[in-house]
Amino acid sequence: MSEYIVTIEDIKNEIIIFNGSSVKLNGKRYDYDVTLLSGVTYLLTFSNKLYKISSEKINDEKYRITVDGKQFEAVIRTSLQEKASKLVGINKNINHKLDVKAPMPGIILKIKKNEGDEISKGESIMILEAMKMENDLCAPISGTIRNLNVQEGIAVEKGVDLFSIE
Amino acid sequence: MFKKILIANRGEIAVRIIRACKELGIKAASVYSDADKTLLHAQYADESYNIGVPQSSESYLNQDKIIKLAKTINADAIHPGYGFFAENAEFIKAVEEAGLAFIGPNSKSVAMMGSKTAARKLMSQNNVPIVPGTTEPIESLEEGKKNASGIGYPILLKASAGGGGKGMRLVSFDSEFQAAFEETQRVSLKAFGDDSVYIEKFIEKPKHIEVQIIADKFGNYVHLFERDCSIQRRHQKIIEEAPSSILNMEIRNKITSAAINAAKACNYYNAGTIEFLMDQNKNFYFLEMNTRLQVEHPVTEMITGIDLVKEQISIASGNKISFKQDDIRMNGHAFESRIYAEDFENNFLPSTGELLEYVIPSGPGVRVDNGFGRGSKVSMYYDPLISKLIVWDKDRKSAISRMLRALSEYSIAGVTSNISFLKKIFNHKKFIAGTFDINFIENEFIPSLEKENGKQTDYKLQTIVSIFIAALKEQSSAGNHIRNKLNRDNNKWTELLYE
Repeated sequence: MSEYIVTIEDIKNEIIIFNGSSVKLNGKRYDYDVTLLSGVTYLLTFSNKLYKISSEKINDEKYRITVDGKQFEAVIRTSLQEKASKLVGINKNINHKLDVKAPMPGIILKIKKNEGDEISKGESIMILEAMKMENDLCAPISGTIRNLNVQEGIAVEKGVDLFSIE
Repeated sequence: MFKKILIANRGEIAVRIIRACKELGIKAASVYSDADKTLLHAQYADESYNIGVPQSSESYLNQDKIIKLAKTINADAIHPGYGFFAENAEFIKAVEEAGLAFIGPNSKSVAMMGSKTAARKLMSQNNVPIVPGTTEPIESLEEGKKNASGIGYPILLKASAGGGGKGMRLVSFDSEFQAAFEETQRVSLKAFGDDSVYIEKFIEKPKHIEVQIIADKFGNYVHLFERDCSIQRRHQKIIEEAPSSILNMEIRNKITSAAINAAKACNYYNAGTIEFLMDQNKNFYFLEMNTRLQVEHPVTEMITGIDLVKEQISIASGNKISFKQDDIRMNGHAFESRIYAEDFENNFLPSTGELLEYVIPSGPGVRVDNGFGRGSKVSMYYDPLISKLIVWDKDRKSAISRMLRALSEYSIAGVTSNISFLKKIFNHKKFIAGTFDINFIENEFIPSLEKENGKQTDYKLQTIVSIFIAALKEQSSAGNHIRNKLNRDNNKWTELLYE
């Protein structure tokens, strides 16, 4: 028997796995089966229905899951890891800084804000050109722009730190 | 008829053309850049040629390379698809001069329609209604202001050489005019190398209605009815349908005759599309002519039974149109959904990567025009269209159900797709009622996407994902148990040996 906490879109789901075919979710017990189809794709049998689910590992606890045309990022931790991460999380919140990374490779076409500017969530910070399109990069949270690491006209790889918001 | 055609394009449209060639008994030659080796067009063609590094200017947009290749491999024609060279009069001229056939119109017709102001002028002289505004580029700020107040605000400033929504600016008041005028000039000079700008009256809440026409070199012109392409995001179409749900026979006759007049005005041959804006009183105005095959041509094929690509090839080789206007009947209703690798919850940001999982729909009334397979890579160099899902059914309501059914059969992983966004649209009341205009997505979806808690939690999917991932974790901590289990299920001998 193992206990896990799965976090999806900020919602925490408690799961207890019994013997590899039976599971208790948020207090309710279900039977299930998982079969690997190929590559990253599996079949989950659950409540008289088969779900085709693709799973890509992002890191040890984070997975990108695609099911029914929808994509989720799910974080899985054992209940012990979850407790530990909560403690770390409290410390993190004191700094509350968010690094914004390039979501895809491209060219920085225009930077609309300066370091130190106050910005609100959803405001456009810069334009990244990729795939023949100009993509507005918007602030994921409100705050102040720090560590502006890029200049107009340069090419960036996916995952490069662009700026952070404090 | 031609013996070998070089297809100067990539992805689903290259596959579409290869299919037509094969069915006509013509050899299809494809080209692919270093980034596109894993795409289907490189695999399906009879011959495939690597044309270099991913950057379009060095590969799919390298005129000399492509024409030279066509000569070397003894192709007798080039099909440009859409985008890239399809509406490049200079390229068409070079193809003609190289003694090859261009599967499309001649360079003169394309050049005539290339400048928006020249096209507007030509149309107004040929009984095709145009949006009120100027037919010449604006020479000065004073002249522009005078024209704008004469037409009446709000107005649109547009780049003469523009398209696809680039170089376009809405001006609501006289006081905004100067800044908007200067900016539009700057943007169009940068994007199109030409700073001429003209003025159009802003049509409020219009629909985008376009008419498919086809013509041969003997002066025969036929229309294949209309398509409604009002569902757009950032001025890019994502859902198209035929016929339009709001046209009656009287307006249909008017708009299709106007389209034929437009094609005749530029001595057009081959397949072409005349785009119109239709206001709420069903007045329609010429927007532009697309002198090529359209992305959304399949919906027309579905309701008329005509294969537009085969017809294009036949006309380019010197044949007459294989049918008459009176032979064409509209039958049923068709939709097309463009499946893009993009994240609608993140400002429609394109998504790149390898398709780790890729299954496309099938079944009655379903057609998928597709350029990718599992293992294909969606790269940053080109537009993020993966495939087009087209459905047909006897009426609009049934076709909507069929589209939703087919969308649910897609299985894509490795990149983010817009499939769940498309489902939201096909489930939307206003979409189902047909009472939408070109601002539909902006008005109905963007505000709710930007809202702080706009995301609706799907508890059932939460449950499924949670159980799945916990089961995966549990089993992976007990070795590669899942794979072993599958092998065991499939192979009784293994079971006997090991259990």
